[in-house]
Amino acid sequence: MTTNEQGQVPFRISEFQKQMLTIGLYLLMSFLLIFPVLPFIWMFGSAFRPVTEIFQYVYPLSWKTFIPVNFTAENFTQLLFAEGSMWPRYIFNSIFVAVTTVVAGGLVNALAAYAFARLRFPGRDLLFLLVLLTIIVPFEAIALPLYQVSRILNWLDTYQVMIVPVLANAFSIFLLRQFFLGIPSELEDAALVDGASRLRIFFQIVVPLSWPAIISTSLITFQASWDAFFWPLIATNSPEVRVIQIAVSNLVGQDATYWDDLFAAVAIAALVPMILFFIFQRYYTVGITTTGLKG
Amino acid sequence: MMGLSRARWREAIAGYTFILPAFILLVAFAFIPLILAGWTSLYNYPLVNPARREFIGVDNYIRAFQDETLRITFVNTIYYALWQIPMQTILALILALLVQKPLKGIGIFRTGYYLPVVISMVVASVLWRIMLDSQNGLINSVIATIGLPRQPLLNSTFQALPVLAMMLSWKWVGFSMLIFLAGLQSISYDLYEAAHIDGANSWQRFWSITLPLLKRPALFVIVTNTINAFKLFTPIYVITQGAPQNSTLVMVFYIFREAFRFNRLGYGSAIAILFTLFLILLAAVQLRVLRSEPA
Repeated sequence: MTTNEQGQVPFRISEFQKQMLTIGLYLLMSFLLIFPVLPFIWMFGSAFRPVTEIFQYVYPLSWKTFIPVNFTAENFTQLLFAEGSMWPRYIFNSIFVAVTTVVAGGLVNALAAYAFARLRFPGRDLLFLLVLLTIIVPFEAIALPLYQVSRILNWLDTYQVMIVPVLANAFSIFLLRQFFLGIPSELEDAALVDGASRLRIFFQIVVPLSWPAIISTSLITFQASWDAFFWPLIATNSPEVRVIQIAVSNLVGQDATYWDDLFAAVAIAALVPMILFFIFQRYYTVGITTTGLKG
Repeated sequence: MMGLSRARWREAIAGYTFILPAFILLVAFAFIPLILAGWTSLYNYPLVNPARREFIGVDNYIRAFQDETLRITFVNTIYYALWQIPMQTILALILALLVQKPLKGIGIFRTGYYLPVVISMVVASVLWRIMLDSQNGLINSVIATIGLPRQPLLNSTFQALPVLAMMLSWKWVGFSMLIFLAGLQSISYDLYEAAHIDGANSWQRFWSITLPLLKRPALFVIVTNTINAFKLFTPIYVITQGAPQNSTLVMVFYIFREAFRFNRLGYGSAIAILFTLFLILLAAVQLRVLRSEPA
């Protein structure tokens, strides 16, 4: 933190110097904050402008570039409530697919993770290695044959094609297993002596102790499902099952872009994961540090 | 296995039952597709008319090595990765070092830098597509306002990929920052104090304590950044579609285009397999080199 001309141990610096350094740090951090935050302000600001105003104040830069001059929520009401609008359906589809994936996937992965963490059975470590192997193969590489499998199952253009293939997730299994390994097993052993079944032990003892890890994996799964684009793009087509990411990307592909719709849609698509993030912020960090560092 | 007691048998049966759902799903939607990709790659396999496939042996692979557009695509992908990986990694390290101290209000800065990670890739891509527009875009407005000449950005074959690398670094730097931050916070303060007493100045302390202990998170960040850089798809699909003049054509987009636009599922599968092998090899080499590097 300090320079050291005389080669002395620079342990003591004056209070004044310390304060100046802290102020400098805050200034630098605040300046850097402009880059991630300003595009968000511009995006949400534009969503609340009348369509004629959206690009009117982009140049030259002023406060008008970011803050709507004629504030209106018209874009949102038009997008969501106009006669025959499919957007409520797209939003519902995205939420439905994500929630189903979180619940069903959570169950499947937590059960497997528990078996890998606690139960002893022949071939366990080999099977776990096989599960981990699927992390290495990028989804993009198996998307083409997955399309063929889905076609054989007659699943193309349905909800389940976006849900079932991604339910079992090696990453979630790994993360939950790490967590289960850290829980002391005395309670489970006692319940076992009392004659409780493994399934009962899992639901009545292990799950209640594991909410942080379960919430954390659920958030990661929800976000992955909400963000999914490549697979829904390939596997679905009709508006009835279309998810919001596909719908948003379709808006920019057109010759004449409906900027009012576009900004309102983008704002909604951005807002859902942002709200979750602000509510469950600390669980995000748990998941990231577990997967990132204890691996 | 003969010697297993009754209790051990029950435990093993519970174990297999618990992993069964996850295992069936992984076999159906990961292992079988992987084998299917290998099989499909040996065929001239029209996507829309599978009955008309014909066996052509390794012709698809031979063709891949002679495909001039694929060569350009591969070079583009590497060029892009060489911009994005260092940019994102170094920025993340700087940000992590800035926000590591628990100063007042530090959460605001950490959250702010992390914000772009939360939104979906489609939302980020649409947002940047609009901001990077060479006429009406916010970026050129900023450039012009500070007195520099307007840039062609995505319309230039030279600027398009570096600009995309910048955008993707913007999107993911917060994630890498958090990994570094977790690493920094696991460093014991005692080490720094001991170094103080031994007379190390702050620069020496950074080099001999902070950096070596950041090796593990750095390894994780670099390997994941590399894999993600090579898997670039959504921004290409939403923003450039490979234009201008194939200058932003990258591997996953090429595979997607071969299979789903040009109806060549067999050829697409062959490239997907080569691409996967390349990614696995790359990750293995990185782990080797970065691990063996003297501290």
